[in-house]
Amino acid sequence: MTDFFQTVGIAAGSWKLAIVLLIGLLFVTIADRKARR
Amino acid sequence: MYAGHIGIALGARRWTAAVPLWALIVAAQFPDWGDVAVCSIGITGPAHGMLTHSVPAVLIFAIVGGIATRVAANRWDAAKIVAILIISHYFADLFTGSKPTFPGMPGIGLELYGRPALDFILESAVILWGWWMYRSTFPPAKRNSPPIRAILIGLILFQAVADIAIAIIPRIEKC
Repeated sequence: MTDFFQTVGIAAGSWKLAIVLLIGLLFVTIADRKARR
Repeated sequence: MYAGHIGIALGARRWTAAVPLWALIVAAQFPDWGDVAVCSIGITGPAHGMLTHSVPAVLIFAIVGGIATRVAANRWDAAKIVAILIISHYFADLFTGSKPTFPGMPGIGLELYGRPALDFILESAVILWGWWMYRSTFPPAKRNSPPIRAILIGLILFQAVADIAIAIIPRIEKC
C-alpha cells in the first residue's frame, strides 16, 4: 500500500513539472498566433 | 534552465518557418518532458537523470526528433534545427544545474540555480536574444505589437517567479 501511495505521489509530482512546461508552451504559442493574425 | 529553453526555441524560429513554434518549444524542452514521463512511471534517483539528461539520452532524443521532423516536414534543414534544439537543452542546463554525462561518470555543471539572481540574469539574456531573433521574423510594422511584447515580458516574469521559488525552496524535486 505504501508503494502504491509513493507511486501516486511521484506521478503527482511529475504533473507539477508538466504544468510548468505547459504554461510556457501555451502562453508563447497563443501569443504567437495572435501576433501572426 | 526554465524559460531560457523557450527563448532558445524562439531564436530558432528565425532559421526555420517549416516547423511550428510549439514544436520548436517542445524540442527545446524535450529532456524535461522526458522527466515527466520517467517520473510518471516511478523511476527516481541517479537512473532518472541518466535516462533524460545524460549525453547518450540527449543524443538519442536528437536523432529521433530529427528523423521525426524529417518525416513530418519533409525537410532536412528543419530536422537539423530540431535536433540542435534538443541538444541545446543539455548545454543550457550545464549553466544552471549539474547534469549527468555518461553512465559511471560524474555530473558536470555550473549550478547557477544556487545563485538565483545570476540565473535570472543569464536566462533573461537568453530570452532577450531569442525574442529579438523571433521578432525579426515579423514585418517591421508588426514588431512592436502587444502580443510580441507580451512574449518577452511574460517569459521574463515567468523566469523571475521560477528564480524566486528557487531562492525560497532551494531543493525543488522534479518527481
